[in-house]
Amino acid sequence: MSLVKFVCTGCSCLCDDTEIEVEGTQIKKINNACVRGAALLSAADNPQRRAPCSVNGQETSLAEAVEEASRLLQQAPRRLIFGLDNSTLEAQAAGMELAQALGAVIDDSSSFCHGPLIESILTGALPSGSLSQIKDTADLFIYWGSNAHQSHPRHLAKFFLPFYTELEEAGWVQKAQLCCVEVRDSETSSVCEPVFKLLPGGDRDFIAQVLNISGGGEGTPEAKTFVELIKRSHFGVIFAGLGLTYSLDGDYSLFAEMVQKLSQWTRLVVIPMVGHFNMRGFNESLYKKTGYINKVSFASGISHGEEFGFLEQVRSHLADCVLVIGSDPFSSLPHHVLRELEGVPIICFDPFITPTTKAAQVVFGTAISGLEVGGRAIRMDGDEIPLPVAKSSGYPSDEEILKRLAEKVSG
Amino acid sequence: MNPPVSIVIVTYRDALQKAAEKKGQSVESQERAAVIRLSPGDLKALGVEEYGRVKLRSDVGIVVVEARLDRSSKPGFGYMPVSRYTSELISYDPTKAKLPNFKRIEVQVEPSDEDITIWAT
Ligand code: SF4
Repeated sequence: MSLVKFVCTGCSCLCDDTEIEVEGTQIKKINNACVRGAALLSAADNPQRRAPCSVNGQETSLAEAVEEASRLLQQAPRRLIFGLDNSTLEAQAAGMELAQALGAVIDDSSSFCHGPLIESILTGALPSGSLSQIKDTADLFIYWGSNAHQSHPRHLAKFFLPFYTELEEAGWVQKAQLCCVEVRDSETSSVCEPVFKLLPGGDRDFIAQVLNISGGGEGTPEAKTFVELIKRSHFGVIFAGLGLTYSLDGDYSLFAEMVQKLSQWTRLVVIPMVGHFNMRGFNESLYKKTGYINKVSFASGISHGEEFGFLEQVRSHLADCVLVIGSDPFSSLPHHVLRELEGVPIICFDPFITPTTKAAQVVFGTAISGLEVGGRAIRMDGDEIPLPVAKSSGYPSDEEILKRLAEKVSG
Repeated sequence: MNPPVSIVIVTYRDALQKAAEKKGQSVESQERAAVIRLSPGDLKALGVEEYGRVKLRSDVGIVVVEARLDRSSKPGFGYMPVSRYTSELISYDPTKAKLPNFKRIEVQVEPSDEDITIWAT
């Protein structure tokens, strides 16, 4: 048995200190992974959980699935490619090539979560930084609308807790402050001091108060404490969670104004608490290729717009065939919208059986990125992380299938 | 039976629920997902004990889940893990908001004798 280093792709922390002990192709021991990472690894070895290649519910060979998928893609006038947030950068590039070859629309889950925030960072409207630098130098950590303990279970342990103590005469003291802006008591808020507790949807008001105080005006005592905290710090980081994004309905302009204003007193950076391990990679790659991070159509050149978002495409019946790669919209997206997919062929890539693979006409059971297939990914902070292969499997990679489909549809 | 109570649901992530879902432990996953956490005042207004069943009705869907007490919850707000249950209630209407209402699902809550909602797999 051998101990193998493994970069966990359970979330966008991309923990690179996890290890597995492998015997043959079976994982016998897992070190350092959290409950989510461990679940991913244990599901990897469970044949009941793995998705086989299939067409209309019948198990098939990879070649037959490729044949049927390319037929569906070729016969549909309007194709939609969605997902790729759980794929390597290499597979994402292949997915974008396929979208271009097909003249398809391409989008990912950032279009209904962190997209606007990542866009603000990529365009320079919001300052950001690398976690490796932050964990050694920042002295103020603010989790805003994020219960990291549940969404990114090792985030605090890896990027905050062990590093922020120093020895004084009185003993070990915390060198950096951890606080949060939250709407409910959570595991993360229980280790934060202070906790800025808002009513759900109250973020915009709180930001307005902070802005007012920063400009010399009046505001609530909580907003005053927040500004004081910023003024006392040398280097602050805001970990922006989905709570903030949804409360602002994706409009980060006032938040960006606040960060700019507060930056007169401290260095302040923002890191999106991205969920899928390589969503940021998708956004950065598409941005480089087209100038847009998501919601792109290759139907005639490059176009971008709300109508090319996944939910809008489905809601308004704008797609005749949907290719979902490594995503499970049927688990968490609005079902009243997904019902509009009735009669639309779905092709789905996933290592596991999910509600979306169950709804698909063609399924490709794929290798798990970072475990069974290597490559590269972009962590939530924008750092590129290499993903070595940790163990072998007989499953094809997303990249391999996408390239085969591209060959078929262009040949 | 007590009259319905208007509640705004805020969704949250539950690592154990997600882990159970990934491992295919459907019972554990469902037990953690089919839950709404309500303030003491709202539970009282509904006349529902903790672990009692409630029906949640949004403008796009209906589910029956278990009520739990959340002492830190403000009246009028309820908390649910993101799951198949919330996806039945969440709506997306770009004429009202750019993003789906994951953190502000308006529902009518009423006590229920029906079984917890489950879907055919
Ligand atoms: S925090 Fe994320 S990357 Fe780290 S072990 Fe857990 S799931 Fe994996």
